[in-house]
Amino acid sequence: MIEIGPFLVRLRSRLESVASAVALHYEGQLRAPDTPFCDFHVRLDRSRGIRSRWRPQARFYLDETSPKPLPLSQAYPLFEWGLNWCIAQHGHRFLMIHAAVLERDGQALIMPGVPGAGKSTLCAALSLSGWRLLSDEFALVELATGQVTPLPRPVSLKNAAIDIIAGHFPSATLGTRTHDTTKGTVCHLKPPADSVARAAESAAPAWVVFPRFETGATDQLVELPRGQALLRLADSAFNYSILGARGFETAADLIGHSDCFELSYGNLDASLGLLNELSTSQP
Amino acid sequence: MFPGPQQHPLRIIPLPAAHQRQWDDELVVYDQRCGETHLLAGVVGEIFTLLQTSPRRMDELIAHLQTGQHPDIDDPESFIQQVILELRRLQLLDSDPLDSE
Repeated sequence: MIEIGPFLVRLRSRLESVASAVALHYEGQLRAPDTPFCDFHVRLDRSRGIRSRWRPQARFYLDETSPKPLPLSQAYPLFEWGLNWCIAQHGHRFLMIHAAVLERDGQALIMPGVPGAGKSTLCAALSLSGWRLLSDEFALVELATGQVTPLPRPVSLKNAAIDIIAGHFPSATLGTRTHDTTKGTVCHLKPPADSVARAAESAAPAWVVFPRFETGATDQLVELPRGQALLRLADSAFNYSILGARGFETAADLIGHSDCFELSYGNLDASLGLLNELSTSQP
Repeated sequence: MFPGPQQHPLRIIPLPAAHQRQWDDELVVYDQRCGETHLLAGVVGEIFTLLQTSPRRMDELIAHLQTGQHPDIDDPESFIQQVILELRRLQLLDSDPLDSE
């Protein structure tokens, strides 16, 4: 059983690669197997059938239903992606935004981003330099309070970002590299112990930053009008349409309480400096 | 005799206050009938707010532009027609004057 923020996940798997990765990345979040209640019954196993004899595959099952299998070597990333799918399908007590979220002094920095925007790299770097990791993938905004609920999970790093983080932060705990996935090479960063220990502490939205990575770009934060920010935030939400008016009101309240920016990002240190200045310049 | 489209008062659909947000010159409107969110920027938002305050005819809107702080708008009549077309496209107008012709 794994406790991940507001969710309890019962995972069953015979795959050694999954067991060792879960033991590493979720070390502080494992709960007794006989915990009576859970949100997701998940199973990860070898795919059956004759094809699996020469091309071994792994399957992710939620309540015994399973999407497409992936090569066995990708079993652990498949678990993480499958978990994303579980949360996105069932977490409708929150407005769920595809975003990295970090916290400092009780205030949340929300970074929505399309794949390749650089949010996971920034998220990993910030979480290793004084910010508390709330989530790499989901901003879970409580409908009743507007607070952001932590979802401390491993940060998914891809391709060049893996060596960038390993080089900048030699003490970071990185898992095994998985090559040739649909996202290229993937490697997970273990969430900092402090983020896991404080998983029950929500944070108030303070900044919404839309990062955009571009090789050689000059790093700069440019203020974004709130109306535009709201539309972009809604585009980044998994369940904005499903929630209807409550989704709009929650997103609009979040934007109304936040300063909004676009971050043009080319150099990690420079962009970290800009984001750190946000929190220190707060009155 | 029925009024022509120029004389027909235009009105905005009923919208709960919680479904609108104004920041500077941007107005964001949520239409719960279809679940769409619209960003009305600048003069478009201003005209929307004006119509929401009370229904107005096209010529009144044109006069508003002519007397307002909009020296950059060369052709207020054409501009208002475009704004009305846009609000109609977004289905934010309660009645369509052309429908009553």
